[in-house]
Amino acid sequence: MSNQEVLGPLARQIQPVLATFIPATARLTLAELAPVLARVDERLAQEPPELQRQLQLFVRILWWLPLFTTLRTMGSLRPEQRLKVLNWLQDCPVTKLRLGLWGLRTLLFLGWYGDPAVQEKLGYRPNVGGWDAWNAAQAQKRGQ
Amino acid sequence: MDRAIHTDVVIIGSGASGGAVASVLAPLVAAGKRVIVLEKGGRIDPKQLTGAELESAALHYAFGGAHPTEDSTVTLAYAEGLGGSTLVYTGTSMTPPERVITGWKLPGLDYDDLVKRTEKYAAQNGATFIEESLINENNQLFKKGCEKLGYHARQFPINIRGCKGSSLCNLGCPNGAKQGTAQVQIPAAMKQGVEVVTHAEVTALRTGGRGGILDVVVDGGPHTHGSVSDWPAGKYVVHAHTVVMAAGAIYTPTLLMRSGLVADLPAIGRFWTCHPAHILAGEHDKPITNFVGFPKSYVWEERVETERYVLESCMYMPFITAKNLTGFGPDHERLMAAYDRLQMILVLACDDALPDQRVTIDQDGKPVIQYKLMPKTIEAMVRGTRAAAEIFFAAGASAVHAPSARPTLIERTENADLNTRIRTELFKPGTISVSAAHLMGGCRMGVSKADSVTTPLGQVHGHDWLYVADASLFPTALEINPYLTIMALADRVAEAVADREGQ
Repeated sequence: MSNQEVLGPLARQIQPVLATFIPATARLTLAELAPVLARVDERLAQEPPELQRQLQLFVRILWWLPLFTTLRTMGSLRPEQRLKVLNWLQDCPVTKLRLGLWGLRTLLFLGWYGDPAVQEKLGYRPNVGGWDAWNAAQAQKRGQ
Repeated sequence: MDRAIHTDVVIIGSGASGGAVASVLAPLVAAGKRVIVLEKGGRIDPKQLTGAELESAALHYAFGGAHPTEDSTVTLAYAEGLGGSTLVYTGTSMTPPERVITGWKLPGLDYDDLVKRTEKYAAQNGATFIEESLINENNQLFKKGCEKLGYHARQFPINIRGCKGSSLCNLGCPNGAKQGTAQVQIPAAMKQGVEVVTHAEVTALRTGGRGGILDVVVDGGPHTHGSVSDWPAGKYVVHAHTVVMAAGAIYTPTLLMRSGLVADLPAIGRFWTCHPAHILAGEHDKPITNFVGFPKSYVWEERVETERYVLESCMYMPFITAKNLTGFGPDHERLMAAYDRLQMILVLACDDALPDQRVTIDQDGKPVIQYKLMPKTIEAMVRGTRAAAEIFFAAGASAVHAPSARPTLIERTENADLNTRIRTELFKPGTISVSAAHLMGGCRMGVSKADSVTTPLGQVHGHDWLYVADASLFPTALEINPYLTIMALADRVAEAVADREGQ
């Protein structure tokens, strides 16, 4: 299983989940989602194929899970309904389901918050120059 | 055909313990002995480090910094590379608590002697207190909060030379300022003739001839940043008069188990501890300096003996922060957007050394960490979370994110209700991110084969050629950041090895 084949092919099923985890991603097209999932797949490439398959299965389960209570798939739920389903799962009594959600959530956070452009928007701008670079940047701000 | 190498001493691993052993044994080379250090990872040149979070984590850490335990409720962070986890530690240089060391009740292990040895390595590594003007607001707020509550936060001595305050310690210092074995002990040992071989993985270990025999695979790469091994790629059989295990609290027990010593030594892999930890965040109304300056400056440990937790100021990068904040959705996203206003505190629990908390191996010989978050540990983390929340609010935070609260965000107006808002039953393994970087035990020292693996001097019971020198020696959790104690114990082991080689 190559590193392009874990979550990449499941972009359509992941999109509503990602948008629930990180609402700012709701506006992303599938093409814009690709680099986020590529970062995740790069990390997953180091994992055993069995774990990769389990994750794919979990994404598919998430897609169909709301069918039992709402007769709708995850993709056709409104954002607040998706949040309700995923919140229930996060605190559900079955540890394996909680862990599955935690794992997927963590990987999608890696794909999004691991992006240096997103980090910069949060205000995270580390510099190997440390305090000197920081002070220079502050002085420049004050001068503007 | 496998190449044969003959040596007097081989040291497996180059982190805190391997580096210390190499530096103590280096004078043997002048006396005609051959000393080899085998390191599974590669050389990392600080000048090539960018500080990019994912790239640096992938370069330094095994499993990207998140080796899961068997039940996946805890992730373990440790580095692979010349220097081991000293590449990514914050270099907090603490002497061990007397209560813990004397509690080990090990014949011949004298507390004052151990402290002297920690002082030797603290001096080698330039451990110092950074001046207050260079301590960022994230750390100052921790101290301020503690002071307001009447708690005494102690400043960490840290081992730096020429620190610029990039805050990137946990991703490998790009300025080479943080002192670890790759900067200090290994270069000193190499100057005296110790051979260091990188990208060399020991796959098996057995008794043979006048000592031990190791199967070693040297990986020819290509490796990141052009790191190359000191030996040509291929398989080797290393014959050593003395073998020193310094591969850390996961791989040392793993290798010993692969070697088939378990039947004779049932304690191998057992009594494993890790100071499980999680990160709390307090939100302030205005931006604070948090990702510039040294990330970790203070520790509050006044409740370690009675309540089994330690609090440390800390700061982590955006992905690690996002991972550690419980939950998701609009509340999580809003808190992440407040990143430049976040203060962080690390809660570390002191976990008990129990026989069923252990490292074992699967059918392929790979390590499996059978570790469960025990009720006492969870209770300690919850108590620590309450105390951290008090500190955040005392420091002026407007809200606190507590993983064991629902909703997780506690507003300042709820400060009086922390005992009801933060509760043990809300701490659900599998929902809350728990990680650990202080991996200890698995080859504990002792006097009996029944419940220990080595003698108090690190010699494996019944195998006079085989020593353990790393954190797997700890009989119980240390309750503080352990690197100096690891080096001090390794120093004792190295002296015993030198005596054996001198015979």
